[in-house]
Amino acid sequence: MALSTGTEVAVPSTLIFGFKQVFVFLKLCWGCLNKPYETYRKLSLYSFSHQLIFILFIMVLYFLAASTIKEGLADGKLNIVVASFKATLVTLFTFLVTATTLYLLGKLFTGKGSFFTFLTLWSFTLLPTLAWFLVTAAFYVLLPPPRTTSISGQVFSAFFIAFSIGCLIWKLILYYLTLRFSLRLGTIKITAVSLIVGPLLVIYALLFYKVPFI
Amino acid sequence: MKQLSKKDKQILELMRKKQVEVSNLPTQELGILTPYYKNLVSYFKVQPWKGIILLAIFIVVMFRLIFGPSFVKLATLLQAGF
Repeated sequence: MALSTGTEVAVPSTLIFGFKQVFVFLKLCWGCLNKPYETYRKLSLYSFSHQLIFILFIMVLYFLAASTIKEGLADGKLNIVVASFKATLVTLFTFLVTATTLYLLGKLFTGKGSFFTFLTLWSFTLLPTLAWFLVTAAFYVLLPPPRTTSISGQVFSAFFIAFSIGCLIWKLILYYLTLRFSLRLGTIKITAVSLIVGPLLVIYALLFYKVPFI
Repeated sequence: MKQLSKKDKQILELMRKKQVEVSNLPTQELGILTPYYKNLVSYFKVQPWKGIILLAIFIVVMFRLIFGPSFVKLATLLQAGF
């Protein structure tokens, strides 16, 4: 049995709460990848809205890193902060507009559910987006484009395209589950909503981005 | 009547919660496509990444066969998209 030395420092309860929340968030992330159906069902039934802070935090970190890569440290730290702030604002605006459009369309197709639950589930669809953008930014530094048709160029391209397709399919699964669980829509209605929103998103993406952060 | 133990009560509560979770959504009916739908969805319910990896590899192989070595242009375009 350990004896007390009388010098132990009590761990603040807020710190324990913080660690617990990080653990819950990591568990949810893994769940979205490994058991998306079960995880999304839990997300729709219980309150996990405070977990959104972690997604926002990773997003801000990503934009800081991406702005540093694009602007370069030589151009000054202010440019990086301004660029990342702008990118975060534009992304949040796009995110909210997309979420609102989807929610209203879902409601039009007799969907049932609160906007807050929808927003929580929709936020978790940002996980594949974040994964893709973080990995792409890292590869941009490690193996900058353009790719060549050499064997190594083709192998890397095949790997990178496969990874991109994987992230896209993961995103589509989470998108489907968002509409299914937060609005209780059936597959036919989800397809109808997607046929309306899909072309709009493609036009928006082609006008403003190469790859949209949605 | 036998009194339930604390452990039994906990198990019952877990079962009740699970029942609420499972019965939360109405079942999907797609007419003659329902069995195919259920079969497809089963691949995406648990460990979908296995299916995703296979599908992604298949699509990349198709890309390579259709476009030849110039499929690397897509990787270049995507890499510049972050």
